[in-house]
Amino acid sequence: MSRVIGIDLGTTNSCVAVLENGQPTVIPNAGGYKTTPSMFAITPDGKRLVGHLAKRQAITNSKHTIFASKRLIGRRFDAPEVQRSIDLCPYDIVRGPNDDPRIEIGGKAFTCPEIGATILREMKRVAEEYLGEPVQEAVITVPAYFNDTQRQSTKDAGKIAGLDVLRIVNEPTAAAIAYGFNKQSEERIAVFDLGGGTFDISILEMSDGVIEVLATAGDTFLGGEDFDRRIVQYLLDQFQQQESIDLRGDAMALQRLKDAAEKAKCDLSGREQVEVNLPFIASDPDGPRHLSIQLDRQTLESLVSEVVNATLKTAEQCVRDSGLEAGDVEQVILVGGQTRMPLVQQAVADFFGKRAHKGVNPDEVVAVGAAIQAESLTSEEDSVLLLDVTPLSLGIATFGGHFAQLIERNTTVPVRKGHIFTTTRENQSAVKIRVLQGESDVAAENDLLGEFVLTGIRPANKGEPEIDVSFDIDANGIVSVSARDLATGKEQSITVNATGTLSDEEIQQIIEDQELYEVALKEGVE
Amino acid sequence: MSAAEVPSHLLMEALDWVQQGRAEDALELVESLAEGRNGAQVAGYEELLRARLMEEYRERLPDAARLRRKLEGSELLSFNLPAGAGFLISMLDGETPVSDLVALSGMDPFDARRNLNRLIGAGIVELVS
Repeated sequence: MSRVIGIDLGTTNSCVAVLENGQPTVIPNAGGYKTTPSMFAITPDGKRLVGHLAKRQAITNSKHTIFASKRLIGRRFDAPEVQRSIDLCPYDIVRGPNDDPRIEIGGKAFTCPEIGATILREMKRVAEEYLGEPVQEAVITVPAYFNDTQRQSTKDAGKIAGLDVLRIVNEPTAAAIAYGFNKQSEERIAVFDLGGGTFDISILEMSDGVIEVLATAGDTFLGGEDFDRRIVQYLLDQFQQQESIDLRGDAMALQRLKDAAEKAKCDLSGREQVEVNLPFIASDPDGPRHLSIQLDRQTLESLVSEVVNATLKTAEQCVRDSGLEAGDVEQVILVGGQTRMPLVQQAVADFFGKRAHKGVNPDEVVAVGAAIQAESLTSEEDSVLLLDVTPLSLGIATFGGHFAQLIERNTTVPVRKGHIFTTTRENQSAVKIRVLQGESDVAAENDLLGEFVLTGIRPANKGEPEIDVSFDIDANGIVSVSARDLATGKEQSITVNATGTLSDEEIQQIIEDQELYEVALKEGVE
Repeated sequence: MSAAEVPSHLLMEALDWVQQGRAEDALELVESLAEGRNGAQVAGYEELLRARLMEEYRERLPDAARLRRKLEGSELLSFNLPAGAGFLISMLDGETPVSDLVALSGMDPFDARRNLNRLIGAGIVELVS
């Protein structure tokens, strides 16, 4: 039987792990790094780059380098997050035929699952090289707030990458699994996940191998990149003051500054001061210009304090949603490289009134949790029982454009809930069921997951027929809905396949395109 | 002779230099002649020389070759390098093949290879054996 891997498909970086002899191992890539940038690029000569290579040319080839596509996956083109990405990202995001966002680079419009698949395929390859055998099955993690469409699109990405996705697991749940591995503790824990491009916080309860997410909150546009951007801005200002040269329009200089800012930020977690040296950063008629600027931890902290404070506001909301007080949390787990920063650690410690747990690697803990879950799904031993929650309320659109909630936000899944609805017109023979996800009382302000029509309702006065609408959410967070006329027994049901996800034919086509590209690549090389 | 006209004896001289194996010098001469002029003749010479030099660069520095810095600190700073060369130096890690370096740099492939060859010639960069 082939091995099952756990993949943390991150907004900024991805990580893959596997259980070996009962112990989790994080698998390094060919460069020896245990995380791989979630980036995909096409060079001017048509070469496709993934991971570190794509990152190294991200600024000089910015129009054709895709990063943070996870922010777009499973969303509609008109969604605010997509519109904000259009404003922020140098690559072109266009409306796809399914009303989904697609990314145009190298003369081709890629779907978001296709981009996700490129990263997943790379992680699969890393695992296969390490294990020396093909890998076909995986557990993939997603943010806890991902809705049904985003989860389905992530599964699609796995399928395109040639993986059978055994389970979609929430990232904080995976972190909690890794933390609780071989422990039999009963604890309330907070998972504070500050990654490269996103911030999430979740409150979970663990007892006897059961992990329940009590609440989750986050910001999809807040992360380590905000820290880097502020450092780059500072370096640009300092250099302009010193040399009267503005480097803002110089892609090569900006690429170097971005890399240097990230390195300085990491170094300042262990040192009080660093020197940023970038020789030959510019030249003018007087000769070359070198950038040499001292950056200390205090300056860095003043640059980013606003961002750190924003994470605490979200943390407050999450704790409130969980019905607990910050002091009720017994253990805090830090996830994401940015949590290595002393200022972040101190802010978290002040907020919860205790220092974070030190026993897990923030870059790897989610992939480790996914690997543990993967193993438990395929082994014959008792598996870790997961009780995740639905991150958003689910319901249907009703008369007058209202939203009737059937399952409230933060309800534990798997779950099945039903409600009796009726008709609004005399002798109405059919009803259209519009399945929505969101928190607004106004139907139009929520996400449409899908719709179907229940026909054959017996003729009757309005308000008389009884239609039982039931929602089922499985362990992956995937939604099924059924509607039954109690008088006639007529029933219609769907596994929600929202507008924006790919059909089986489209997935197959993408797989074939990828195979063609790989054949062409091989022929070009040989 | 009008201001935009290119002195033909200079072009002949550039050709002589190519015969003598001085294609780099010839290109610099033709590039200086091209400044401020749109002459098709000069453009043609320039294109020809760039193609010839590209072949030379590829021979001297094959796609699979790997490069590393030879000089650091004040020794490196004593050179008068353009920013493009500085950028290429910053990318050298001794592991990335030349073809990837060129692609990753985002620079015109000819300019990237020209810079790399000059850096080797100046003793700033060396091939990893």
